[in-house]
Amino acid sequence: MSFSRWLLPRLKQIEGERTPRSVLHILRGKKSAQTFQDSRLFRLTAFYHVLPKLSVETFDQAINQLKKDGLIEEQDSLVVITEMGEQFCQDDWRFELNGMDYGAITRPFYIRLQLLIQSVSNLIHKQTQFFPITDNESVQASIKKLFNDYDPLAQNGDVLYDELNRLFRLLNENEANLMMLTISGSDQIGLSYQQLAEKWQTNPIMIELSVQSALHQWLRYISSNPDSFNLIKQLIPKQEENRLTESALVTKHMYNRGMSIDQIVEKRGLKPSTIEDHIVELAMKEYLFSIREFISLEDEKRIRHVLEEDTTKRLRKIKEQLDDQLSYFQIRLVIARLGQEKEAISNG
Amino acid sequence: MVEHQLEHYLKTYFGFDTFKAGQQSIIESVLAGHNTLATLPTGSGKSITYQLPALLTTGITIVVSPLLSLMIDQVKVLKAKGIKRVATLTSLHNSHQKQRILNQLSNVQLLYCSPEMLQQSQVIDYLKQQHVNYFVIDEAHCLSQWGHEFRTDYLKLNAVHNELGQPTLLALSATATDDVQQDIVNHFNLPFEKIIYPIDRPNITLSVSHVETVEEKHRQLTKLLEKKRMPTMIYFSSRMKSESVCHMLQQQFPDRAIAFYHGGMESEDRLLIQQQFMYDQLDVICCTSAFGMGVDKANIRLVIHYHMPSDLESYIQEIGRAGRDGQPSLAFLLYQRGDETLPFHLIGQELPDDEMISAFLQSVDLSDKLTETQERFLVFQTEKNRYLSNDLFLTIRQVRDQRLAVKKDSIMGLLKWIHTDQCRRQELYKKFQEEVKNAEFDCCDQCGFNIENWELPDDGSFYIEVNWEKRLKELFNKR
Repeated sequence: MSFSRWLLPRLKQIEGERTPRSVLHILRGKKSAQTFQDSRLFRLTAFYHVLPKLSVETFDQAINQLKKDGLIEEQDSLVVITEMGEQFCQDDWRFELNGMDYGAITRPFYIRLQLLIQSVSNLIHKQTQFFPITDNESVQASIKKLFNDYDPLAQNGDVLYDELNRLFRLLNENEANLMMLTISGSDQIGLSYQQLAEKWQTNPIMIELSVQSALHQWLRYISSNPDSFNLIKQLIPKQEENRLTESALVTKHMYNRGMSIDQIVEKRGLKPSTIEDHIVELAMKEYLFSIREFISLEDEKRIRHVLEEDTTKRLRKIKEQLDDQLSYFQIRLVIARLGQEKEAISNG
Repeated sequence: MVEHQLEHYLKTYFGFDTFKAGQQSIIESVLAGHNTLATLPTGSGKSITYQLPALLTTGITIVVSPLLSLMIDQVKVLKAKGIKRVATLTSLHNSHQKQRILNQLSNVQLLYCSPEMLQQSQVIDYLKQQHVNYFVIDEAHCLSQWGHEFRTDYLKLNAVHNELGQPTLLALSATATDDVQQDIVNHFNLPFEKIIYPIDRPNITLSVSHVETVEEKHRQLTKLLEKKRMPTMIYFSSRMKSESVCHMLQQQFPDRAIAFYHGGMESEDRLLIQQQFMYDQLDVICCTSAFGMGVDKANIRLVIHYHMPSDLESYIQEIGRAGRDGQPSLAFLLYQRGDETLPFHLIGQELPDDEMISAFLQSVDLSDKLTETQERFLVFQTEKNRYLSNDLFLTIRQVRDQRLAVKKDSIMGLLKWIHTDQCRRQELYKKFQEEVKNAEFDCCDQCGFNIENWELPDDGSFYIEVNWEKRLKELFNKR
């Protein structure tokens, strides 16, 4: 499958609403509230930040190809799928992507994992001199620290071997073989996406997506079974969301998959106020979280205005000043956002 | 230091039993405190001549090098050998990283520095607080306007050297003609011990093929490759061409591992490709001159030039990657009439045209229009001639024209070699040394070498395990 054909179902999602470039921003994981909101609104969260290095040129080329093939058009610069295009919109190639949850940590996790395996493999083969597959000094330092703290060479590296074995078994055979070929060891260096694409007779972007998909599967599995991956879980970079309470994290993942508060309430069997608490927590702790779904810009401005005047921050009083038209939940969201902005300022 | 002691340290630090030709006398000269000007052929371990002295003395050794990638590779090699008290100071560092390195200078034995870093008074101030043992100038031919890679920022090195209290100098180059050597000595105006080693490579056979069309060039290329599977480099002057020819060869030779490498790739991918080539996983690499810095692969059998480089020095360096194991190897240059337009075009991009000079002098904003080398040239020449010249434009144009003439002469020199009917070995090396050794195997196409009769043993192919389970066992050495 070509990259342009793979893009088509993504473009279908934003049909008539956005320019093609908005999908590029989502794939690259642009850190703007607009992009963040778009991914959610158009159910593209799985693809957020899955191709961080995708170039504008490559993306535009794919778009032009789709136009040339008569599959899409642009009307007032918005994407429209042609009748012929509709026939190619079945989405068989979603992979197991989960970009909103893992996009930002996938690359650092992967490069650390590769360096760990390369180091262990070389040392098991009694080779103490080798060139690390990355020049990144902070990655090298993190693996050195891991060697000090966990001794991955104990029992001839059996702990790592066993954890890897279980991770590879999660993948289908084709995926597993592909992933293994990206790994460097004592006697062999991993292949680049370009080379894998040649071997699989596809293009490097599709290979990258397969690799991302495999890694997202791994990350999800490790996160839900952390006790079974004592070594490899150390390679997962600490995320902002680790500051979230565990229950809020579950809500966040559901919300990111496009569920509404009501749906989450029903699915989790929790009180609406609990889920609202989670949303407020997200608004407070996550810079990218957009509150626009819950409150209009106008109402937010009104609340901000009142908050500036009234320093008591007593909710009852604030609500009265707003003529009781806005809910406590909405006021708390704005307060949370304000708190977050202050923190951002004080952190420089 | 007595001989066996030096060899003992060579073994301890680098794992070699004996010195390669030339290394020891350079090291002894440096350790004795003589300013030394030395040439050693590519691949004969130039770097050990300053690394070993640096490790044997307390204090710091500064190595000036114009090539970022070379410095980074060197540091990587040293670190892989367990030599950790090394650092680089280049424009790649942000001010925070730079400060961190400067704060730790007393822990550093070997500091690789780009010449522009040594222009910063902050850096000099920190260095002055250290005891600087040796001041090493790598690629010292950059000091000479007769050199193929003249670098204006090298011309301030004597001032830096004085500021640091004139530590012992070591000027190194792979290729330095008499003119270039004289320029280096004049620049520092100090007595130098000259240790000039011959750079000719008697195990490399030299051959040039003249073709009429691109198709014929490709046919020749195919003919060369189909003879044998062997570690091969193909040099290109254009990134795009290296990719397209690579893809063409992949089609033609589906059972060979062929990849491309150029400066436009992601650094992680470049690392992978380079390492695969080192591990004999790749048969053929289609590359630009960006490849090969610090690559010390012993068994490269064939170096093909799809495009000609821009001077004899570069050509000697590039073919010098072949046959470092001393086994028979072949350097093959494919020349199509008109190929020289590419290097002529490239030198045009290195130097400013008249319009650029006058715009620059009138302070017109040229930020998008100048290449990095053009800008560097203009800044340096303006600074240098501002108070000396009555007509800055004319002066700079004159310098530019001189430089252009040197560069054009270099290209013409290589063209002349391509068209020579004399022995190619004699013609290639005679400018750099008095006597050229006889070939150990076939000499060159002018001396009767014919590609049809070229025989080499088959190295066999590298097998890549595709099954993940088997491969995982291999990685962990489980049977």
